[in-house]
Amino acid sequence: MKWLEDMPLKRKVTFVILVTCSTALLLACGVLAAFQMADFRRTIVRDMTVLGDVTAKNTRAALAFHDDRAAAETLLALQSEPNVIAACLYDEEGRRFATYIRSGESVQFPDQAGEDGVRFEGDRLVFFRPVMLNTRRLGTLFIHADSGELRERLLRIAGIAVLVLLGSCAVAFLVSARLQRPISQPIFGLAETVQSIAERKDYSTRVPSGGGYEIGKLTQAFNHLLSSIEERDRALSAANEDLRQEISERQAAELRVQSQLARLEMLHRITRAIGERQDLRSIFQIVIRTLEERLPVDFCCVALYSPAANTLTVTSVGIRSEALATELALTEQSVIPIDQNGLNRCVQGELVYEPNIEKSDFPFPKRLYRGGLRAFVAAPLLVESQVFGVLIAARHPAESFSSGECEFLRQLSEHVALAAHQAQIYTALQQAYDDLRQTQQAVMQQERLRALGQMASGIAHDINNAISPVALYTESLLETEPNLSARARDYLATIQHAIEDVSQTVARMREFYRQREPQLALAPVRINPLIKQVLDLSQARWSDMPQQRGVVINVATDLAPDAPAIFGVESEIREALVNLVFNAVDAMPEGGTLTLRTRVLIPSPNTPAVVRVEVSDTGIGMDEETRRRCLEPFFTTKGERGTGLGLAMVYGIAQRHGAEVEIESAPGKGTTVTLSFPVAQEHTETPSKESKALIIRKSLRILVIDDDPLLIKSLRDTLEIDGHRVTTATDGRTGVAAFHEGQSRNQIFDAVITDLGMPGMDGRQVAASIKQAAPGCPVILLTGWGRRLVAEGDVPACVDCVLSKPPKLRDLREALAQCVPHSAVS
Amino acid sequence: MRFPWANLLWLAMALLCCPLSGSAQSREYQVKAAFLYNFAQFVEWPSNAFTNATQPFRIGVLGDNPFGDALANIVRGETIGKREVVLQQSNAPEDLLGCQMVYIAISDTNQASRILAHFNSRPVLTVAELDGAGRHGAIIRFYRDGPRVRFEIDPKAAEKAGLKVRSEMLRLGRIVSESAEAQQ
Repeated sequence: MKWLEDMPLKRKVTFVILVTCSTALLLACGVLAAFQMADFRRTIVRDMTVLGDVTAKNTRAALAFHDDRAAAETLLALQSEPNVIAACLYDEEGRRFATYIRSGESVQFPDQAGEDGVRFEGDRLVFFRPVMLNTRRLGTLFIHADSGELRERLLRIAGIAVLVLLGSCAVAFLVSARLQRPISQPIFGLAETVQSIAERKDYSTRVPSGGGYEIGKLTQAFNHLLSSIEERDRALSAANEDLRQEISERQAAELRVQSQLARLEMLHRITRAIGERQDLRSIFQIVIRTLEERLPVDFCCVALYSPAANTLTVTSVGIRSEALATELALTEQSVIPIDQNGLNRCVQGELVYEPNIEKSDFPFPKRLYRGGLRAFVAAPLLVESQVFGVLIAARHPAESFSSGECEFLRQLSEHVALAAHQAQIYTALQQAYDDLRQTQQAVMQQERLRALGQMASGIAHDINNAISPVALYTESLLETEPNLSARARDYLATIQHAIEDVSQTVARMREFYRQREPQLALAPVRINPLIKQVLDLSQARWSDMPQQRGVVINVATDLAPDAPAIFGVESEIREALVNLVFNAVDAMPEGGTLTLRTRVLIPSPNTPAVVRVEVSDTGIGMDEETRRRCLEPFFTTKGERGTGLGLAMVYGIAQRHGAEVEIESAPGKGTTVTLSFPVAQEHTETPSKESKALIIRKSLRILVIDDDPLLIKSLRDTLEIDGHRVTTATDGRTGVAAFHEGQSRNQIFDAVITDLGMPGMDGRQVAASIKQAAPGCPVILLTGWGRRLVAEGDVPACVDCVLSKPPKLRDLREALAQCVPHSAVS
Repeated sequence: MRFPWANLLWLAMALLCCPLSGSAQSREYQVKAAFLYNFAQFVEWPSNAFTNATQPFRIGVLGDNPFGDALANIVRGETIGKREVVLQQSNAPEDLLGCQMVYIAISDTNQASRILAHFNSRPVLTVAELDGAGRHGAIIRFYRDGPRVRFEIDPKAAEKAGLKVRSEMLRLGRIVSESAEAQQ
């Protein structure tokens, strides 16, 4: 049936209708014809049977009476029956009895009578009928009838059927052509619509409504489908549009993110780079260079803000921006006044972006525009909400900074500010750390010095103790032995001087850790003799030791002849000068000239005159740094050899004497140190104690307490020579016990001389016990620490007088004379 | 109704084998016997011909029976108008007065009128040979037409006897009028 499927619908419908109609018609015609034929046959059979019966009846008499002529005559009557072609009568025995044949026909009769019954032979009807007389069978009638009418009828019916078929087909064709329209028309419409939709993709097309029932429903459903497709199509295209928009947005966002990432990376690099640097300049340089190369910008600089002047000072300009900066007069150290427009806002902490400065009236944008720059960003560098500088980035094209870049610059400026701030903090911290370290070193040094001083003090104490008998005996011998030879007396005097020098040296040694000795009264000191002493004292250093190495140091003196005396401590000044000489010698390892010079200057009429003492060398000199720091304690250029205390001590001494220290030096040019001492105003001579020799006539009972047996012995000897009665004790407790014993025996001691440091009970306690027992009894404290106690105001309450070791007999006598009432006789 | 072939064959043999001389006689009478029976079929007897409804139909042969067994064979088991057929043979006409049909087999023509007188006005179908005794007065008379046996009928005589002869038989027989002959 493929040919049927390939047919267009219209023809198909027509075809179906026609075939259906024709089939129905053919069936109807066939059935009708069959019925007709059957009916006709039945009619013929009936007719023939009736005819046969009638003929049989009519011939029975003829048969019964064997009258064949009569029978033939009777049969001849069948002529009136056109269908009957032939007839034959058989007698009782079945023999042919009489026949009839229609004229023009030729029929072969059966010889014998056949079985009764009707049958068709072809289109002929043949039948045998019995001829009966009552119950007797007389014979058989055979009739041969023509059923040509039957065929004729059949043909006629067929003809009619064909005609009807043709007619009805034509009618059906016409009718179907009209009637199929409600079916085919909507389907054509549907097909056309579908095709047009398929071609043009226009889902807004609608199929015209196709009536009711199935096709209507189909078109409705199809339209519904179309509208839903259209809706979906629209939704889809909308979604598509949305999607496209979203994609473009995402792409833009992606781009933004990427540029953001790049900037972030740049920020990171910058931050890391500037984090490694501590000085502002290199931080700014890195920032500017990175911005120039990687953002990039056409011009970039950093200017520091000075709030007081309300100006910006350019501190760093990028390498690429240099030419432009020169052109715009924005080179380093150039000053930008802050105008009202952008920079003003910027120094208040705002990021300023000027997208187009072509029309700007303010001086700074105008200046930039002169260099062809049209867009610039000024980012404040803020530390603790204080603007300390401005980062300026500019480009040639207008509107060329994106918001991301502005934001980036803002963040960058924050980072830069932070880094700068941290650099500042770092510098301050470093400074503080250096100071701290120096302080710590000073403290350590001081501590070491203190220990040294304590040790020196101990040594001094011991030396004082040790030389005390020497001093006492020497003095006593010189005083009390008139028989001494001149030589002995000279020797003894030398010993006495030596002892005194030792005592002085020991005292100076203690000054290492004791800054001030208020008890040392300033005395007028003549500088020129002092200088001679100094040279004598230091001869070993400037003469002997260099000569051993083959180096010659010439010493020159240039002394003002009438230099006035100054107020001071001779030993201190001497020490200071010795120190300076030592330094000068050390500065001339290859030899040179050492010059000591004194000058008297009167700077202005109203001020006192000044004595300048200069110590010059022609040595290696000092650089600026060393020159600046040389007065600091523990600053030394001599490595392990130096203590770093020399010049510091000189400075200390100078200060105590109200003197100024000047140092002139240059590397290779030698050094000159000048001490300017004010000239002493008063010229009072210290009264000489030597002139008065106090001799206590009265014999006194004296208790001497000391843990040094040598000292006790020398004291006892010398005091006994003076006529006193001396009781001794080697420690505090024994001494106090002896005192109490004397009291109890009514032998009251007139004075007690006690050492300070003793095992068991020290001098203070001893003094306290004695004062408790006899408040009127004077206590003289004899100590190796003597001067220090006085200096520190640490004279114990119960002590009347403090004498330092080594005691001088003269001092001792004086003390006894002062303390013991009515003892002195002048 | 079927014809057994054997019977047919037998009949054919009989017809062929019987010589006309001897057996022609019997053949003729066989036909006549059949005729006799057939006459009864085409003639209606008045109701007074029978005394009751079950009275058999009597066929009488007056004189010597020329039929032999032929007649008896024919009527055996047959009925005429639902009546049994009984054959009666007698030489005396008086014996045969109760018959409905009488074949007069007397060739003596002289006796004819006397014999017939017996049956005159009686509902008896008289059958005679034309050249026999019943020549005058018998209702039906056989005669020979070549080999064929034919008969003539005197309808007036039949009417007289109260018998009604069917037209189809009348059409086959030669119609004569005895009275007319008698008048001649």
